[in-house]
Amino acid sequence: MNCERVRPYLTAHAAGELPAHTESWVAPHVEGCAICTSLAQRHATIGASLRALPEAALEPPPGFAAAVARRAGQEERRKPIPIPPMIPAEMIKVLTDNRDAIVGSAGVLLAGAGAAWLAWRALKSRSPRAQGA
Amino acid sequence: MEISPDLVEACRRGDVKAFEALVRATERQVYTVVYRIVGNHDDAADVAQEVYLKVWKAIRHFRGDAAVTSWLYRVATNAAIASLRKRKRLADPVEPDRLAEIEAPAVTPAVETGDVEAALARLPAAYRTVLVMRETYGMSIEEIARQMKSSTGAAKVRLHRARLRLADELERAGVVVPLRREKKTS
Repeated sequence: MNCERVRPYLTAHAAGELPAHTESWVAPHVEGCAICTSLAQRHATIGASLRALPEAALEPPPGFAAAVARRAGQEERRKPIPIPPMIPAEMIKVLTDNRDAIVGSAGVLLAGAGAAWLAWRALKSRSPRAQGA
Repeated sequence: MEISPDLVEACRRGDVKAFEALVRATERQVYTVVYRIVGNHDDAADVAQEVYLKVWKAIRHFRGDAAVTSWLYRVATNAAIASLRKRKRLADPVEPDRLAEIEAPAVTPAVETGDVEAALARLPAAYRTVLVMRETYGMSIEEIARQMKSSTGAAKVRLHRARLRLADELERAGVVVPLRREKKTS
């Protein structure tokens, strides 16, 4: 086993990312080779310092949160139609389950509206102004 | 970073004040991950703001089966990568043939975080991104590949090259002692 064959796997070996079958031939070489050991150690050290970088190291610009909230508020006001608090699948189920009732109610409403319109027409035609004309 | 479920619930109801509190509680983490990927403060501020607006629009549908912070990190890395892609800065650099050999073994002492941050900032964006995602935020290779829209094999190669390049940067900056000696070419 020579160094050239192992080198492409050295960074992953140092990070403990190699699959077992690859590790099984990379690790024995590294253990027996002073130069590959020092290279692997170098990558492990650099990797450790990367992992040690603090998650919250930097401050955003002053007033960042307020600016974001302002834009969020603008987005909220820009919403054109309020969305019912129901997800579409549930809404479809409700409509499907109550189809007969919905169709029946719509029929009754239409019949009522039609009757009201006919009554209004009849009243209008009997009014003195209509008769005079 | 602990975010209370009540705060998330208030945000889901459209409470802008609650959302501002959520931003205040998480802005340093989000800004830092975005900065580490995009590499400069101007872009980081814009992208971080975009991240929160996306979160605001989507929070009503947030199911809460993952921590809100993990979700925030995912949205932040996605937005940072998208911003690099838009600026066409995600291409892999052309790597020179490594005509180098090791002169002698040596022990590398611990590296200061400030030196690593500075070396990271000098890396090409594609390399910086995979290193930050993998090493600093512990993302899996599969997740990195998904976010960078590449295969896992390509993500592994990119990560390997990024690690070598970071070691080179640290050598060049004199932070770690060079291990290599250039091969004489005839």
